[in-house]
Amino acid sequence: MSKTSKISAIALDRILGKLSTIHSLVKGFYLSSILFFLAIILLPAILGILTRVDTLSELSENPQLFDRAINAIIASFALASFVSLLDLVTGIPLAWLIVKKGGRLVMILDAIVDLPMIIPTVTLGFSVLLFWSESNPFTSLGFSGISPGWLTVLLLHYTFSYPVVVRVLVGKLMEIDETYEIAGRTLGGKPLTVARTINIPLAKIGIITAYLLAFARSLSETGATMMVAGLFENGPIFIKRALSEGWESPLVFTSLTLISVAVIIFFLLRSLGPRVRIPFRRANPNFEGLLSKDSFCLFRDSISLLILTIFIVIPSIYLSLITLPNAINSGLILDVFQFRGVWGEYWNSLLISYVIGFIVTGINTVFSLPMAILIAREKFGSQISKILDVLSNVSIMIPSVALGVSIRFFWGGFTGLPEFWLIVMSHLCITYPYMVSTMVSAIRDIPKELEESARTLGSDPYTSFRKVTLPLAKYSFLSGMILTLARSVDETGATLAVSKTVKTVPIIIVDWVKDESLRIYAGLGATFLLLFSLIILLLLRKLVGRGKYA
Amino acid sequence: MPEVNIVNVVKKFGDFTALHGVNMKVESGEYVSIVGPSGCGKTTLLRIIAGIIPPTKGEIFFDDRLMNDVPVEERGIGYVFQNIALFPHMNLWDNVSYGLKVRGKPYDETHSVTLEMLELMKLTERYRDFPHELSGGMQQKAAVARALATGTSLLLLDEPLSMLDAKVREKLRYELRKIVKDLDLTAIHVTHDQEEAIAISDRIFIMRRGEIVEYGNPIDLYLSPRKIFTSYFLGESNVLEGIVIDRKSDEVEVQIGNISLKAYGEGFQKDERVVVIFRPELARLEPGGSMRIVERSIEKGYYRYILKDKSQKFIVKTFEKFDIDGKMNLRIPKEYVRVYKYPERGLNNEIALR
Amino acid sequence: MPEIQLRGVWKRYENILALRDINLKIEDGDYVCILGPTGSGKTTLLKIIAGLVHPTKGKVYIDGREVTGLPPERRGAVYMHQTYALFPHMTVYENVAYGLRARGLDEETVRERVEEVLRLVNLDGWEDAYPRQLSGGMQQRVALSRVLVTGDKIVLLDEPLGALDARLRLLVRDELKRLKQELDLTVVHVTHDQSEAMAISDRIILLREGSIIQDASPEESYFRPTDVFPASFIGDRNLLEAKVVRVDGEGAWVQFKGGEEVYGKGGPFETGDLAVVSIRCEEVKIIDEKSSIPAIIVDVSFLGSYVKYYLRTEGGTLLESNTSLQEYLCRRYHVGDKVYLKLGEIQLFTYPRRGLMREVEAI
Repeated sequence: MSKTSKISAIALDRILGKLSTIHSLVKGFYLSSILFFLAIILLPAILGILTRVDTLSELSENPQLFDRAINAIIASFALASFVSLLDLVTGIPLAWLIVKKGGRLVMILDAIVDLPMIIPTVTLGFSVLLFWSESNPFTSLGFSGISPGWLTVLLLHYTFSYPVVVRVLVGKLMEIDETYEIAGRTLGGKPLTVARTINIPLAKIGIITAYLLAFARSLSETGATMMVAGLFENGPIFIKRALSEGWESPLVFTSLTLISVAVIIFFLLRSLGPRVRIPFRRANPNFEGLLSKDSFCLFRDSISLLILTIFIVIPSIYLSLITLPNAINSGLILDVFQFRGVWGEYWNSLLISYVIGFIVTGINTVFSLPMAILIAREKFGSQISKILDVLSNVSIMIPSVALGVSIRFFWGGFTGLPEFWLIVMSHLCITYPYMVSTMVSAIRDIPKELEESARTLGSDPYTSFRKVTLPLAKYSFLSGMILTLARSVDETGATLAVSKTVKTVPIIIVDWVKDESLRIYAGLGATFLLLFSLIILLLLRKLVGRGKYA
Repeated sequence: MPEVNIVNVVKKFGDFTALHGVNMKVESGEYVSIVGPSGCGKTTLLRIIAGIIPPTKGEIFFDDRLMNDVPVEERGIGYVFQNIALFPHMNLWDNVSYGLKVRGKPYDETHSVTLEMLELMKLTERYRDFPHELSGGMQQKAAVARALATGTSLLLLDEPLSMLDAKVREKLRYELRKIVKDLDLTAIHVTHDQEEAIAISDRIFIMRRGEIVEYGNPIDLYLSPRKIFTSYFLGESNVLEGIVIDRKSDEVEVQIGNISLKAYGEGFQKDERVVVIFRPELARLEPGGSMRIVERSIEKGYYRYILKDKSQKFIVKTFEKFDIDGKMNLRIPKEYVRVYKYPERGLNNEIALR
Repeated sequence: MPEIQLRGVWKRYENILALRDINLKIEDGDYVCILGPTGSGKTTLLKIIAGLVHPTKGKVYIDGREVTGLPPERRGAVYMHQTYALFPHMTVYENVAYGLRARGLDEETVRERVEEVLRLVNLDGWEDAYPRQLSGGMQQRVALSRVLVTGDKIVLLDEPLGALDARLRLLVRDELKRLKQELDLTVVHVTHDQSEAMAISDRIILLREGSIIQDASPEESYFRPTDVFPASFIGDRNLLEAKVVRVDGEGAWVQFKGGEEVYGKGGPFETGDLAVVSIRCEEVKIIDEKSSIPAIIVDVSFLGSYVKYYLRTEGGTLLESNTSLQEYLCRRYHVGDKVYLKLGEIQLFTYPRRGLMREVEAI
């Protein structure tokens, strides 16, 4: 750092430090973040759709569309509940394996599980489509491919929600003090008995969270679903149809219903879920002892790994495996780098996607930090903290395309904002919960005593935060930012809802897949998106990792 | 009830050796404690006895039966944890009955045994409460009830009282011993609190750096231990360096700073450097002398004095009250003074806690 | 030099009353222990003095000026948390230097002061180590250095010895007292361990359920507690139920359930009242000659520097007697021996409203 920049940095520090001691300023700082949240994140998402409630009356004029809407809604919820349940049932054994076994092999496994999360969903969607419809382990047995429809959608949703569930479960299971498990064993419990009566109940909140996240993901996903759906129609697909056909009242109806039911389910599960208790009557030690034996565990783990490979890993990388070699051989790859033909548009939208991504990440980081501190440190009391915690997570449950519709109505009606900024606004709403919840857990992980000690030793609130909390939370904050960036670049549904002309890269890819003549490019485009995302990810990690805390 | 035999147990964690060949025998029905500073390996040893971790080498026997390959849930032990470890998602009743349920015991038996245990620990009215609603002392009593409900005859306790308030500790430790004796159990109790060990055990094993330093009954270890570390670690002692100035048949006289003390001892030479140890409560103070009182406080009915003579520091506990800054003389009968050979690796090393 | 004063301090958290009408004054150079069972509010009280918690009602004064609204960094008092709260991402040096740097001192002075204090606690040479590389005892010394180096005269310690091994605790107690003398400090030290409070402080403030129950020197607290709870919490005592049979000027004659009659100071009582008899265990003496209280020994506990006999009188009253080690070595009694008892100083207290067992928090 040059001398002048160093001096100005110190001066800035001192000014901010002094400012942080002024009680009213600090209060204003936190209030402004709540204001931002309400005005930019929460209200547009919910109110927008409400402004068009009057159109609902028109629905009675077209009963066919009304029926279709209802079917789409039911399809969405049925799919989401089933897929999430499947995730839990198959995910718990794998999470258990990761937590208990440990070791280098398992660390590799841990990283592999994340594969579908790193891959942009459009890429994933196309890859899944190709894998299941064209060739898969079963075709070699004479089984024909699965044509696009509800089954491919189910397989797709399973593939991308599975890692989410396993991630959360692994996190929660690791947090449980192993002393409880040991206590259960010393009392005579076989490993299986202890796992089902102690570890799992203690991870209950994690299980509910995992279920809700998978549920929300399935409900929300649009782009990839469109690719693989064929004639199947769920909520987001129907909304997209309604948007392009101009069916306003079914649009409003479906969006509104999806939002309200989703939010209700969210609150119900979060408040009632923890109260569900399955009482433990008696164990069958002989039977459970058998199931705890090493041989059975090996069998169980092999099945988990098989499921992981066939349903998660291979479908995820299938596309890249077949496209790249082809492209390189056929010379198609040169077109890409020379911006020839469709590729000009492609690079343009890639640029747009990332510019939007960085803007969204930047704004969200700045405004969610005070909110996160407010919630984690209960600056306005524990009640308010709890309410804000729940509210900031609400938009996760709202299907992104419905959210996009709501935003378009809200801002479009007011200011006639250009499409680019509408996209930014909708992405802000969608990514805000990820940022806030990552930051909140990061701050909560740092004991309050550290900041308190710093204060009593003489440093003002700003300096205490900068020198003590920030360095310790740095990596978690970075994860939150990367998550936000990835989510924004990935986002399709809301983008489709708010913009007709500005195209982000996922939209381009979806268009190419739908158009038979352009399909050949879709694979390459999707693969490049993946590579590009990986590069940016690694660069970001390196950048902050290298910077030493001064 | 079982007799526990620990033969040559070694435990390594990577390059670090936590236990260097420990040998220990606990008689049936004995209440034994293993005391030592943090890091001495006592908890590791207990976990090996319980079967929670395997030894690198060595054997564990319960009543002549080799337990090495027996998994923890089949060892029939009761284990009480330092951080209590009552299952937070179960109420008291479910916690205490857990051990019976996992064994598939019929409902009637589970019910009556659980009730019996709650009554034994005087917790019957609180059966519906959850762990966080109980005080620390009650939680630990519940944990003991839970461990005993399985019908175990070997109770293993890992620093069971260290998380509790000092007063609660004093009250609970006596109760613990009483229950173990009433039920005729064998108990192995690990602690870093030497006062606790002295109060409750039939025999004490002192550990340091992965080895057993000395063992014996509390009174012998307190008054006439073989090792200097034992004196230093159990309670407070005056551990002083001196030079032998006179030697008779079975007596020595040692010069420590400005004072000289007589003791029983054989095999020492004149001018030999030795270590002299005596308990503060067995000495007396008389006015007039070269020692100056620098601190006075009250402890267990005694007045505890810190005296300084030149650079030597002495601790004396007596019932008489003297003023601070007073000049005193120290007297102690020779049967209460013990003399030891000066340790090869220096006194500091000998009494080091780690 | 500083002086701390609390006037009418209350603290309420949602529906829990943590502190109730606290009034106290701590003089220059005092070593004061705030003693009490877990949950009595002692940490809250300390945090209010530090400025980490804001009182619901009442005022806090340091050095004569009101500091109730002042943030912690401006009070001139340092605080050490019971977990030490060492900054894990900073070395020992950086941890200890933190407070000095926060005050804007130049690097030269900082280096001097840090090295001086590390020498004082015997940690010189460890400057570049990280907290996770140190033992519990060493971490405690780093935490102590960090607060002492600032030069603030008021030091607030929250259970500073709680995480240490019992043996180490005894050693560090003397160290703490020495540091206080050498650096001329005013210390407020929170603990639940009454022997620690007795050994180290000039004054003990006993807290229970948010209220100050007793405020006295260790000697006074030990020999002349003001009520049943302090009597049970500080020192080792027999506390028994008895009925008043005859009132005297300074006290009364009371009778145990077992029939024995003893005399104690206290009151005022009326005949027929229920009272609590308080006898220090070392005041229950076993003698050879016949006395009015025959008893049988039901258990013996060797406790190192003293021995505790558990006795049952002929009338069925249970008493504990502490004998010094010296006396025990001269004359040992065994379980089953029939002996006679002589009771020394007896205090009488009014029978507590919530009953004797609940009052002494029998577990």
